Amino acid sequence: MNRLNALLAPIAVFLVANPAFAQEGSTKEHYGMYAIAAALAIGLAAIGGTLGQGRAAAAALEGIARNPSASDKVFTPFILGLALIESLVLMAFLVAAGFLGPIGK
Amino acid sequence: MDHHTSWLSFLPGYSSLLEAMQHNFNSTTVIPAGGSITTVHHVYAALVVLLILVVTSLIARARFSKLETAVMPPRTFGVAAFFELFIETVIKQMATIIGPSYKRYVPFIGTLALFIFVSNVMGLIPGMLPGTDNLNTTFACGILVFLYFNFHGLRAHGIGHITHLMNPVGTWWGWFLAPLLFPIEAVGLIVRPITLGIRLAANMVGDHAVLLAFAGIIPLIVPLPFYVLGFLICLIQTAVFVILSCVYISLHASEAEGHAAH
Repeated sequence: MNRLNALLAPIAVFLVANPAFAQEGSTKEHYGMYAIAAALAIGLAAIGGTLGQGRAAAAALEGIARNPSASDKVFTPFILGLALIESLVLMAFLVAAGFLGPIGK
Repeated sequence: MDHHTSWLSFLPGYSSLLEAMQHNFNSTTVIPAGGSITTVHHVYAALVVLLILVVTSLIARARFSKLETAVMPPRTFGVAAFFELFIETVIKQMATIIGPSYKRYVPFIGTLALFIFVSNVMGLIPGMLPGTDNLNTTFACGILVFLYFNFHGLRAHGIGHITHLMNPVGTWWGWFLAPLLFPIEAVGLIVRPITLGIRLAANMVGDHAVLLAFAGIIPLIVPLPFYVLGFLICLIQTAVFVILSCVYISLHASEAEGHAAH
């Protein structure tokens, strides 16, 4: 829990020290916040997606290891689960690259 | 997400269509992007896929209509063998998910699977773009699946298709919970074509972006593993689309067991 606090403290400082960014001299307001938001979206989505897919792969591998003849029956739900988890990561990618990217320009 | 040039721009009428779209609409994505990115490659990609599928299915049909060549497996992996393998896999998945009454759904799901697969794979050719990387095409596929399973739900259960959303358990005291349950189930129903479309389009865009990134660094041998990954992604996304469509059909149009059990 202490590590989580240490990780979130700099981010909280960024969010609180918002007026400091207004002096950066860009023509659009909060131009830098779009970049930070896009990077944060992709980063968090990658972390969550990898953890979820890792658990799915671990469960599938354990199932195949217990019963190697069931590997065909395990394969299809495994791939389906991976694709469904990945679709949420891709929605975060869509937000970052499709919405925040063009808005930032 | 840059300018989307491809070999499709050499087809007749491409530049005039692009100019007309840029002049009138300022973008061709369903969700208007912040910058005005206008693409018409998906129209021509869909037409090319149509041409490919019609020509190859006529070739395969000519083979399967004669009894001697239909029964014996072909010697090399040609067009007919590809169709046989693909359709057999799709039919096996449908039989597993939907059950014994799967046959009436095969034409629609099979056509959709073929269209999405050939569209995806067309993007792997260097210089071509997949027709399904545009949200317009994939939302069209998703909306078609939505209309299809709603039609079959109404055909199988009548008005029970909609009352099932309000009162899934079927008891008399379930109706008191219906005003709370109906919005949740309705949103879950409406979000299905949207997620189907977004999943397919985002996968194709991401896959192409990765390929472009690595081919931009070292164009010669290094992108090859990414082409393997790209082909795997194309196949898996087609499979996921088909499996999810079959799951939705089996949820709403299942008539094997009685209507009382969900």
